[in-house]
Amino acid sequence: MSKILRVENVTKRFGGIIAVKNVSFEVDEKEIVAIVGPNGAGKTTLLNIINRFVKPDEGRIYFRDRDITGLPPYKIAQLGISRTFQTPRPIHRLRTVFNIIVPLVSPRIKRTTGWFGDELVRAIDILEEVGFERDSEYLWKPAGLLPHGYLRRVELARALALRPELILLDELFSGLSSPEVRSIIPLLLKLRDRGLTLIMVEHRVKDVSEIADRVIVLHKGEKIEEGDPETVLKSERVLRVYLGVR
Amino acid sequence: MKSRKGSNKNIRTIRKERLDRGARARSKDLYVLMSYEDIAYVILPRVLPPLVLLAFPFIVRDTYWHMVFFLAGYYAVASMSWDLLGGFTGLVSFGHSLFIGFGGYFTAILNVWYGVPIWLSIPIGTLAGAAMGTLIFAPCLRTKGVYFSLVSLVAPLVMVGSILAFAEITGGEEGIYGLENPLTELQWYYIMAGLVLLTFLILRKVAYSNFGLVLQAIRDNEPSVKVSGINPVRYKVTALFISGLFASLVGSLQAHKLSFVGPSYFYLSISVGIITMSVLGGVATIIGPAIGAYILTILTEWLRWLGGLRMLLYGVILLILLNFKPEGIYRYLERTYQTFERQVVEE
Repeated sequence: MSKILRVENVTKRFGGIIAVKNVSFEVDEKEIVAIVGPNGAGKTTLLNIINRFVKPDEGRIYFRDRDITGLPPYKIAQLGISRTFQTPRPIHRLRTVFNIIVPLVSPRIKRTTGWFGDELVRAIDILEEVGFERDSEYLWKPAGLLPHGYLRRVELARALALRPELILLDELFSGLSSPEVRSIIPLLLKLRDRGLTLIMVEHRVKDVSEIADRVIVLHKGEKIEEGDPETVLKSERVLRVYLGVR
Repeated sequence: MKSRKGSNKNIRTIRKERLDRGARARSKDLYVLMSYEDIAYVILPRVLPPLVLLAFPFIVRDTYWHMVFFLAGYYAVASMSWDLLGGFTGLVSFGHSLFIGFGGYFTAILNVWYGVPIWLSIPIGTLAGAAMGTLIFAPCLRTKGVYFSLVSLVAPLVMVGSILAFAEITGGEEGIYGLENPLTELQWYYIMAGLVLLTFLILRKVAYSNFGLVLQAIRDNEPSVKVSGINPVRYKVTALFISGLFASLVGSLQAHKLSFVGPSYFYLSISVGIITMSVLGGVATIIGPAIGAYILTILTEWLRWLGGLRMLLYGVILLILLNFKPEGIYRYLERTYQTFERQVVEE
């Protein structure tokens, strides 16, 4: 199987703090990889490095064997890497559907669907896919007024609207009730079946153990464990980090 | 479906009706018109202001007021174009007079030094002015928020200095005299009135298109725009240029009308006036700044006897408005008008 993403020896320092320390991993196509770790483990920084919100001090990142380390964020998005944010960041004053139109205007979509598509209809289609009802009032409300659970879905819809090949999900489950999490999991699996690759950042291994093919555990910026969820859950080093078992 | 007037009982359906009207900009216009009253309700606010604007010279025959309205139109176009930047893109420019000045100077140089006729000097001067202003502002786009405002504040001041330094080309402090002006006051009035209407239609189209959506997204949340595969800088530069075109055109027209350009075209008072009018009328509405421009310009003329005290009065008006109606006059009028909306109750 070909590798869709390769992260090689990435290091990032913020002043004296080493946020990410010499991390390398590879992601296969159609794989769901979870990056877990306690607070401050460098998970979000790692995502920020992949989509170039943060410039790594050392190391390279390859997307389909193409070096993307030096590209600006919008170029990386145009290649097909989209992401969600830890705290949902909708465009508050715009109606929810119009939030989804923004990625539909990007050159990546224009290239594939032509310049004169009906963005509004496509935006509603995408929102329906992530669990909104077609005639829901929420679609026409300013996105800032939506409840948190819905905002997560809007985030996901925005990421999907770009027709990505790889999605970086930054703590998609945080702040969601377990029924809400249950309802999102089938959606993620469906995305994988459609050929998307997912990288999820989560707090707890348990949340992702159901869907992740592989789990990478970060601790203080270092990769301490990698493998399928069962092995990771049993790993002594991981238990030590999480439970403080000595 | 039955209609009722002045009832607030069914809040849910009322809200739905509002939403339909709000979404109008993006969808087909869907109205339930059941009487002449309804038709008037929808059409009058769209038709009456342009008609008044076009009929004004016949109502008031005093040429002096035609000139005042020309000036009001000048500010209306400039503040509407400012609104695309300040209101929609979040680039609060304190130096919009840069475009006006460039438009005026390029036109004057073309017309006076090179003898280019008026019908060519205006379009070329406008394009050159907008391009030059964009070129100067573009590097400042890397800075954000207040910093962009600060840099934009300085740019026209620097230009005033440059004009004095290159006096052979720009005429220095005295400016350039003797631009071609073949039109009468009344003709100028109609040119400006037409331009105000045209600017409004074009800028509203731009602001509510997908392009305008992206601009608003940049204003509210730039990271999310980057993640959506859109280069924000490119959009900002385009917005700058479009906005600059209108401001520059206004400067170019003014130069021909007065047969004169001078450093005063770049003055800070013009930029500040534009911002005051926009805030007064309502930012991010396009039409609001135009309303603000007409109100403030006419008020200035009425209160001429107050002299310097007028500035104080503006300050007070602005303070009161920002405190009690920060959304601006237009939004307030719109909301008041909507309370007369026919309310459709679904069964």
